[in-house]
Amino acid sequence: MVMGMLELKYISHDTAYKVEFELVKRNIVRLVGDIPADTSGFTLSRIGYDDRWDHSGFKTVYRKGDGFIEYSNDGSTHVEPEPQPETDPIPSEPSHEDRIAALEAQLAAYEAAYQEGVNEA
Amino acid sequence: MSMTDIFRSLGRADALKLREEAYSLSGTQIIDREHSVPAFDPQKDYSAWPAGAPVTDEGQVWLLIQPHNASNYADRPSSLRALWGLAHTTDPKKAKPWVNAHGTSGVYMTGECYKDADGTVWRCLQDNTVYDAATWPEGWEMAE
Repeated sequence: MVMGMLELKYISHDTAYKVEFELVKRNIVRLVGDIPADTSGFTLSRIGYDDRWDHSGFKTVYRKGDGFIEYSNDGSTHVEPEPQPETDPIPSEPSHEDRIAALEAQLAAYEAAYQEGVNEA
Repeated sequence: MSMTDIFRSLGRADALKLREEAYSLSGTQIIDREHSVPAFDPQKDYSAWPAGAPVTDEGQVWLLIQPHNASNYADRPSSLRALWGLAHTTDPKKAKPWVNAHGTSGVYMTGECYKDADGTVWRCLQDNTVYDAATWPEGWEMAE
């Protein structure tokens, strides 16, 4: 849920940053904007107001990306999922018709070989 | 040895066995084993083949009368009736198209069948028949 542009202030200092705030999960928030990472917690206020909504528990940098920081309030951090080894696609079972066609081709080849032998005699 | 090789060997063995036994078999018995009859080869030397050995050509089974080298002749069995005789069958399911007899060679005996152009199979009712059912109806009955 994006809340629109807000003003963030870290607990550790009084500098205000304009950010967009988004609740990613119940324990993870995302702050989008040109802001430094800080692990002191923060407050948010509407622009021009002094709301100081408390987010002091979000002290752990969950993930830092291009133009955003995510904080967690339970100490969790983002873990990149291990790349899954590429597996060969499971070959599909040949259809009944394909099996019959293959058998017929095989029989035709054997018949042709038999006839070759007859003509060689 | 691959399965293809095995089948090729089997075909060769069956053909050689039939060639050896052919002199003592009827036309019906030979045509029953037509899958083991080699195709006529106009370049082949049949000089060492035994009399009675069968070949297939033009939808018929021909039996060697006089061993010879085929490359010395420009024709094939249907035109070399002194060298090749015709096999007939009493099995309606394996009846072959009509071929005129050549002297006593290729005459139809009682019970032997042929298939006409319409697909009707006729069974011969009298030995030494040389005319087909259209020419001599009383000599034939419909086999199926």
